[in-house]
Amino acid sequence: MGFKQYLKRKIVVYFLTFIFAVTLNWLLPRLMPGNPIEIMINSALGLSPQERETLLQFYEELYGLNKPLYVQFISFWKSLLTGNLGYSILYRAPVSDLIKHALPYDIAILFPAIVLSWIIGNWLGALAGKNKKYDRYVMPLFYFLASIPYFWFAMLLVYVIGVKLGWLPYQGAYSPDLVPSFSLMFVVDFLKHWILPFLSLFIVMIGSWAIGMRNMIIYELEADYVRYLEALGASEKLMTKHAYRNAILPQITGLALQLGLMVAGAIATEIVFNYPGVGVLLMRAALSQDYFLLQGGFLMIVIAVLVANFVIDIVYALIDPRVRVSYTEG
Amino acid sequence: MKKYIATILIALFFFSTIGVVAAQEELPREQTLYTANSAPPTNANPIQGSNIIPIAGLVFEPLFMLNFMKTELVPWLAEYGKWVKPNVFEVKLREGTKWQDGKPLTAEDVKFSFEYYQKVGLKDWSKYGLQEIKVLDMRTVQFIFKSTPNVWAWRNELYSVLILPEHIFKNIDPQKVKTMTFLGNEQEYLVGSGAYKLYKVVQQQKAIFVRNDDWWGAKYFGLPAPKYIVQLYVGSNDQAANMFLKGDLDVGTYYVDIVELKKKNPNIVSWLDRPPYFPPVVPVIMYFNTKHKPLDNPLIRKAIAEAICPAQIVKQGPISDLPDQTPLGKVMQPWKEKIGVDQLIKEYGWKYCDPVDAAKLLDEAGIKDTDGDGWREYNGKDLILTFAACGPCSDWMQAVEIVVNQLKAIGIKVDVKKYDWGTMVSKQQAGEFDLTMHWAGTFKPDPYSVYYDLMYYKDENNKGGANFGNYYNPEANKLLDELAKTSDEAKQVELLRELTKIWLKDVPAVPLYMGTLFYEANTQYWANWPNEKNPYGVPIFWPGFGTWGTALAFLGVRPAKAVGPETTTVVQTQTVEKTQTVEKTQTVEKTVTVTASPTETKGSICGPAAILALVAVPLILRRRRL
Repeated sequence: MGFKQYLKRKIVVYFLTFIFAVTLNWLLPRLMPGNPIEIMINSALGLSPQERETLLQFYEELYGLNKPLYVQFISFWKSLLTGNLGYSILYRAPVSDLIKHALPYDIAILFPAIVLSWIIGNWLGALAGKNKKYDRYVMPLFYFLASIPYFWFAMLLVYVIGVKLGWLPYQGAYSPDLVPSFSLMFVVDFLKHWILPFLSLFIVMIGSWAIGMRNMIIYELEADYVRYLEALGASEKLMTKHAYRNAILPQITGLALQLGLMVAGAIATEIVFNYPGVGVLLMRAALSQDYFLLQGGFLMIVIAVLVANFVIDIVYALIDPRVRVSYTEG
Repeated sequence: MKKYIATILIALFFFSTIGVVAAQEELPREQTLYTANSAPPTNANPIQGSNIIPIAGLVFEPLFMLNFMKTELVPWLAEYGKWVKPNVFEVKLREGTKWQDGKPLTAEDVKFSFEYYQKVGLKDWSKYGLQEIKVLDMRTVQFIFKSTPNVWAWRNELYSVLILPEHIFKNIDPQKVKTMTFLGNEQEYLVGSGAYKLYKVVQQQKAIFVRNDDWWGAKYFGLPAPKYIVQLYVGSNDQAANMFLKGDLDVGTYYVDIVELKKKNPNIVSWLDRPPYFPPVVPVIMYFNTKHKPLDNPLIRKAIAEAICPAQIVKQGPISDLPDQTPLGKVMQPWKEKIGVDQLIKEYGWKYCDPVDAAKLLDEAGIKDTDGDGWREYNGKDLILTFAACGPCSDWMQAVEIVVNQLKAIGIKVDVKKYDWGTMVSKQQAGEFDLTMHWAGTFKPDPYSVYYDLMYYKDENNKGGANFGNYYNPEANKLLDELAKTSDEAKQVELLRELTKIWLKDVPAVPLYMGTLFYEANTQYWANWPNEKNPYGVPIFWPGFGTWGTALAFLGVRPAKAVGPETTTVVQTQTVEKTQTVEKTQTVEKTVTVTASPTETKGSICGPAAILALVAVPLILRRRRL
């Protein structure tokens, strides 16, 4: 009973958050001083007044900007529900198309990087939390990894492995003379291009996951329940197991958030490795004031983060008895 | 479960390092021409903003091509186009024109296309007073106007309207066509008449074109040499430079260190064999706000113009060449000779780099330094002119700084206001400046358009598109109105001469330096690229310029049989610069803006800062867990 209520309440909260976030997302460009379309057109060639007029009209019509605000709002929701995220002025293509084509590259890089670094980072962190000697040697390295500027690290990889040693390609998602297909040649080429950007993210992420895990483990090992177990004469293994289960909880939140943010792409990685993901798309949109692409991109991020959070909430309720109890009693 | 995933991923990882298979080329390099754009290919819409270069000109063709470098029309689908009466323009199609699906391309298609543009809302023929488009026979079509229209503006339509297949496009709702990308299922509508067909678009990355061996134009112009044309997506200048070095790119419009590039790869060619290498096309000019005192006085404007020294800008500033006193750039050379511009400058012009005369003029106008602080006063206060400039355009800012110093030498204080590009243009359009610079108005395909854009002013709603300074001269208006309706060349030249005189005497703006386009090509696989000595095509490899002569250049290249010297080792120039160059990516049009000069490579601090901030977000989020 309690869980159902909990779920209901969460759904309502998330639904309201969603409406609010999307509305805000829609409203912001419209609250900007000046007419974004006009600024965009001003960024164009020296157009004659007639040409400017034609273009202005075209885009105003396209976005219904000449209609009253509430009509725009309604049609925005309508098109949103039909999967229409608008039309990018920068790329001259539907935003949903652009994102659809860029997203797989982000997922290909980020998903394995996040998941693998999470698994390995947690494992290493837990080891460090338990073992003082190992901790002394490994943690400085992790702190170093987590705190160096990512850009610098990625470029170092590019320079050393890509340029100096020439072991791996360091630009693009595959060779320029290939067309994506499911041939062995393409897959191999793709994977070769995948390694460096993946590694750059993976290595840096391991550091921060490990630090988090290690600190949590140390905290948990000091907790009263572990002391109690110790007093009862429980085995080391049992104590660690309990500590680990408690320490992993915040790490799960972190993992879910990271996965939620995956749709935003890894901007730095994509810039350094010239990888065609959503991150670069959004950055270029921001720099060239392509509000519609930005809006579409942010919408994706909002949805993904909300979904991720929602999933965490459910998972939490399932794996952490305390959450469940607090709701059953409430 | 986790272990499984981990194992699989790690296995994949090793597999990929070990599985080194030499990447085999799908397209034979010797038959493929590689070009690139700084935005990915996402739209193949022939009439509304394709960002794929060959769509206009190579897939869909106009009646005439423009050779911008010579401001000359090249009859294309049309055998000729001429005024048979003052109000009737007749076009005759070449014999044997046909569509890529084999159907004949007729005068009906021409009529349909012009009307379709109007239905879409992209053109308004009524402004020319067009009454009827009359098909005389299969190959002849007449445009009948109420009275003689603006013949120059009409001339520009002849290469900007692409001829569309009626039998295909009549099925597409003109209202819907605007937002179509013509990719995916919509690619079936891409039946052009040109030498190339769109073969495949890998969204966000490349567009591949294949030659149409059955092209009607083969018998007039010869079949083009490259079997494939591939347009890659290359976002940054550094990356383009690398690809040129390696020979992966054959032609492009990127801002690269061309001297360095030529040293490392002797196959690289450009427009000129000497500095500035890049083709200088049109002058970048400095505007005066003629509505602000004392700049309403032509003598003051002349004084300021005389204080300017382009030679110094060319030497210390952006890549450029020397301009003359008129807004007509290098591309107008044939016109300039007809008009006799050199003679006119001698007779009516003023001299660059003449601070002594400039000071004298200012003294005469009563703008003197009376309190001895080195700055001249106007109405009892220091004369301070605000200069609206594009802050992130590093090359423009170099020029601005030099100009500020040159004006300082004659005692005029300049307050530089830096904006981003879009805001600067807004300020210019609103007239919120004393001085500002732009090449708008000079980047035009004929002298009429240049003078019209810069000098025409009837009222706020009826003025030249680049007359930011609101220069007003009824005499110039009259001449321009007359010129608009004059199709007789001798009379055109006469009127242009008068306009040039007014320009020289009145100094509505002053050319600072010649803006250059970026252009570099690789002769390893393809030779006979257009250059100064052989300007058969145009070095603007950007979408939207296909009919301006880019298509002509594609059609003119020949295979380079001799394989060039070995390519040198590729030097990676991926420095921090790279983060900033990404900033340069603007809208397709904006990239064009960048060409003619401002390169926002250096960028403001905001760009990199924003990137770093964005990078920081995931890090911060990750930290939160601690």
